[in-house]
Amino acid sequence: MFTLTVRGLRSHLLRLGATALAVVLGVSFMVGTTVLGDTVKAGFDEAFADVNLGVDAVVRSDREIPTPFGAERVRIDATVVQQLSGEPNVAAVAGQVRRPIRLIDTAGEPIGNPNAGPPTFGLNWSEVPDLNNWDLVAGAAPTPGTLVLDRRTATDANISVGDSIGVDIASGTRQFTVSGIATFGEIDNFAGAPAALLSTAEAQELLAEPGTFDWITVAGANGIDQAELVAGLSGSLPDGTEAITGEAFSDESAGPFRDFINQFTTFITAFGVIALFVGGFIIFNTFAVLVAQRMRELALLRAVGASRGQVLGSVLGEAALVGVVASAIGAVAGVALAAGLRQLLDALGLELPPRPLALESAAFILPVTLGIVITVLSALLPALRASRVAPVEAMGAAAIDTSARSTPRLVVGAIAAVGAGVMVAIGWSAEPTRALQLIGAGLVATFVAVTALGPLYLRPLAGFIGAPLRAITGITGQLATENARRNPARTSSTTAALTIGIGLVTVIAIAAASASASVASATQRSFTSDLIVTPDSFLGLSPQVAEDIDALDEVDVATGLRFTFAGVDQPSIGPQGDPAVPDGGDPTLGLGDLRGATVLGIQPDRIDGLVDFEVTSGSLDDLTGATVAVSADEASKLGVGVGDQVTLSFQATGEQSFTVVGGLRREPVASRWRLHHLARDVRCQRAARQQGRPAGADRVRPRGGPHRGSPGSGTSGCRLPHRRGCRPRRPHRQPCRPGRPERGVAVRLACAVAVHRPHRRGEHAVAGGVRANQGDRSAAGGGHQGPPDRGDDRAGSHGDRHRGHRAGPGHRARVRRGVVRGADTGRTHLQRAVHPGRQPGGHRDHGHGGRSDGRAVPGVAGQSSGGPRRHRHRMTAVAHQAPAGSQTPTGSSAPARATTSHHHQEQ
Amino acid sequence: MTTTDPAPDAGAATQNTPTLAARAENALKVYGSGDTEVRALDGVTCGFETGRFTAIMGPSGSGKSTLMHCVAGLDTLTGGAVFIGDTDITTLRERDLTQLRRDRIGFVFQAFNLVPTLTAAENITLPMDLAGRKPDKEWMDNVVSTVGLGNRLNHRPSELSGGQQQRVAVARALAARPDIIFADEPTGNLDSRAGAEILDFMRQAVTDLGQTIVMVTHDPMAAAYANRALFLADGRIVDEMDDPTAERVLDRLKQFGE
Ligand SMILES: Nc1ncnc2c1ncn2[C@@H]1O[C@H](COP(=O)(O)OP(=O)(O)O)[C@@H](O)[C@H]1O
Ligand SMILES: [Mg+2]
Repeated sequence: MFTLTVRGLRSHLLRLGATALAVVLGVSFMVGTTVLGDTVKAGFDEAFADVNLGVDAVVRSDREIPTPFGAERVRIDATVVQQLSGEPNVAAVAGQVRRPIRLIDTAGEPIGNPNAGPPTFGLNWSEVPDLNNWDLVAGAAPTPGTLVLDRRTATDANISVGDSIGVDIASGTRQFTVSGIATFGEIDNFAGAPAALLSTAEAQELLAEPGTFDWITVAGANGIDQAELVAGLSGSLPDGTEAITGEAFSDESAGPFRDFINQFTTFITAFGVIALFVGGFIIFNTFAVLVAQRMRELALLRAVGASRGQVLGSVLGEAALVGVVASAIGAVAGVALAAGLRQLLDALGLELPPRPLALESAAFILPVTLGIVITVLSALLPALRASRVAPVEAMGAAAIDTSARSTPRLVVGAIAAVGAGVMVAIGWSAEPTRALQLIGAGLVATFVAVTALGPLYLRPLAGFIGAPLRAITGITGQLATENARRNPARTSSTTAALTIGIGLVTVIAIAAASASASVASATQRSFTSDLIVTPDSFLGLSPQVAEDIDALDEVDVATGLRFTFAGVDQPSIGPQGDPAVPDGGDPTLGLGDLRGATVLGIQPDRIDGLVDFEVTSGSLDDLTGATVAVSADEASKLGVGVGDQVTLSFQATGEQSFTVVGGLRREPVASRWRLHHLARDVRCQRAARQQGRPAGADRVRPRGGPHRGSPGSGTSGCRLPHRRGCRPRRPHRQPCRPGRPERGVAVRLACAVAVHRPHRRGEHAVAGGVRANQGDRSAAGGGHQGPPDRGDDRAGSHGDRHRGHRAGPGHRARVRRGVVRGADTGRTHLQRAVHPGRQPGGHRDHGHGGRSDGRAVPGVAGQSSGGPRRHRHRMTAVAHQAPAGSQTPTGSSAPARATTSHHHQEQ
Repeated sequence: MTTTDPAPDAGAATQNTPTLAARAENALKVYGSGDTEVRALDGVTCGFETGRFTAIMGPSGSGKSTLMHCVAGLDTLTGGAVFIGDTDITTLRERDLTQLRRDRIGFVFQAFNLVPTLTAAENITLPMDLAGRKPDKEWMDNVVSTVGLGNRLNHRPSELSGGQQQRVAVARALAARPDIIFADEPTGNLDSRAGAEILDFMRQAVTDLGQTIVMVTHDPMAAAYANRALFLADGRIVDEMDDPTAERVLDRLKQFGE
């Protein structure tokens, strides 16, 4: 009997081979992604354990601020270091600072690409050897005015000890002398993320706040258990701080990577599952045909004494063999795929810790089982049919297709159709995750229904579609049509694969189109300005840019917009302490956890006609440093209205209380960059690890407050015109170089500039917006730490504090050509203004700040020009909750550029 | 018509008092209903003696094949009963009927007798393989040498001539030593020489090996190889003839036409 199965299989090997391909693909995708996921996760776990070598405990703020990029934490006071040193069982304590920066080489070129690939981090050089995992290989530890560079960056950029190097921080560019080159243990740097290590005092001052750290690492006395150490510390910690073990911290740090890798692998696994699903239809079809062809042979077997079970078994056995072989090939191919995907991720800038592939049996069991089971199940119906063949048929006519009229088929089809309808109907209004599951299941049911019911409609349909064919080609068309109609069940299952393929593509296309349409319409509704200028770097634009643009003759009014993130108490401190949270917050958050909110800072007196916030209550005129306007959504979550208090927590300044003075109808922003953000998270974390500074636990986004990556803002490295060109050409495992763009979102902190030109738009609805606080106490002249920056992030104040700095971040802003449409003279000027000296080809201007047209804006284009600047219009934060992931109202993922509002959605 | 004791004792099976390997009692097979009703078998009662070669003759459409299928357990009767030995197969369940076909009955069809993916040898042992039995080596050798396929045994059916294929089919039927072999126009697709070979071969199996064979044919020449001929017309047995010759059979058939 087995011989029979094997012989049968061999006799239609070609046909089955084609069938098996779908199974091979499906299984290999699943195996490949699981193996890759296991490998990468293990790699990150190991790497973070290395990074935190010697760290027995971490002390940090207990206030975690969720942001679309992950969580960050309020900074912790440096005095805690001294306090901890006195604790029993503590051997060493070190404060840690970490924040994204941009390095400028001796030629004035940015090193690495802060918006592509791993971010560049500014860190402090810990003076505590036990808690500093960097090893100097040349030169000396940093002192104020000097820094230590990681060896890879130094090698790549050809920098040696004694060279001068620029560091872009939020407030501008500062020159440092390279005092030393360091490695991270054996490794040159952490996963390709350039690192600059400043002396601790200077790092605090420039990268954090003087007198604060992002987190504090503690080494325990000999032999002390980590948990014991943490338990000992916890009793004496100051309010608002918490201690966790080094292991927990490592684990937490690896979390975002795991999440990202999980998302990535889930995404690809989905393709595997779809391939298997489609494969199921193909297998069904193949076996149906095979069985029909072999009816006489099967009847003969029955006549000479094969039982029904034996016939069934021989067909199923054949399917099982196909499934086993295909799954085995798929498993092997999957391992190869994992290796390939790793290369791909590397090429995309997600450099992964080098490590042999993790081949865990669990990675194979499910996909291989699924591959076999699906193959066998798909062959079940044809096999059953085979087993029902009457022995007399051996003598006679070929089998006639009866399945078209078969009741089971109609019943299955009807149930599937109804099921699909019900699931989609329920899913339509369900919450997102369930909706996705339900609608996904509905989709599958639809395919089943369409295929099962095929015989009902295929005959007339084929007749209808075939009519023109008959008319044109005569007998040929007639035969083709008749053939399709003759055996509608066969036709139906043959077309199933195609139906599914086209169906899925259509679903995805529609989903993508609706998503971008809704983003576009949201953006378009809110942004009524003619142009929007966004920075080419996540460091944002200098506030000066808005002023300079505003000063142009052809510009009527331009205003800056600033963003940051804040944590909102959850459940909220409702009006008069009402604990009820009407629309409920996020149920996954515990009491006392913070919910993330986006805070937007505006100049209310300049916002008219530029951004329409649709004020529904109160007035934006009342916005001051201590007041806020909130979106309807946020207000309902918090249960607040005009006159109530809300408390927001900021990384730089901790908890701040605001009075609500206005309500806004909607978010001016919608997000579509969640994935990019995730990618960015990975880079940052990886960089952190490499530097041995697991900065704030993984959830703490130690990259410092103000800038948060804008993946995608092509950045200094890569101007838009080159984006495609500068895709991953670079060799494997090299740090990001300029020219490798990262996709994603713009600005963390500083501004998008909304511009209105006169004679374009006669009237503007008086838009509210949140009102900036004119007086701007924390603004320009500042430098004071005094009254908290109220949610405003720190870029501005840095500028103030470090007056000597040159151009602020975002100097490389430029107007993207081609986006601004129409022949308007304003474009040219604006372009020049923002990016002086830029050549039409869109190449980067090296003459920073050069004035090619006499209109150059000081500081806008270069880090080497531009003098001290006053931030005249420092904006006060206004809270509004934007959907997670939203970053910028410009909705831009391109390098800094200006776009017209109307064409905005097209980018 | 054979009028033997309907319940022969198995132990009493001797050359002198022939026992019946199979018999039909008042077999009725109706296809369709109402206007389209066809009585393919209209009350057939007959028996097939052990160790003899019986031919079923009759014009086309007379019900020969139907009778064979029903007696062989390939098809079910509308009424009446069929016995293989002592077993009333009309009462058997599907599973037991399959087993009975496998173990006690051999088949030779007009065409498409062999599983195309198996070699000649594998086709010969197929019923035993299905039963999970080891073929009797000596018997197999005997059968195979009688078939005279020699080195063609390891060829696929597609590599054999029609006559060779039919010989393999007969060998398969013989190999499992069934109680009875049914052959439905086994020479229908063969030229006269190949046909004669097969008929010789079957005759030999009866005389030398004591095999019981029932053969459906409309060819008087083929019927001449049999020990006995039954004549069927319109679903009824109309005559029988011992030791038929081609001339006598032809004469008898001509009478039907009149
Ligand atoms: N499956 C069937 N359905 C309807 N009528 C049938 C079927 N098989 C045979 N018949 C009819 O039964 C009669 C006997 O057929 P058959 O036994 O094949 O004749 P023979 O083998 O003698 O030529 C014929 O009239 C034939 O048309
Ligand atoms: Mg016939």
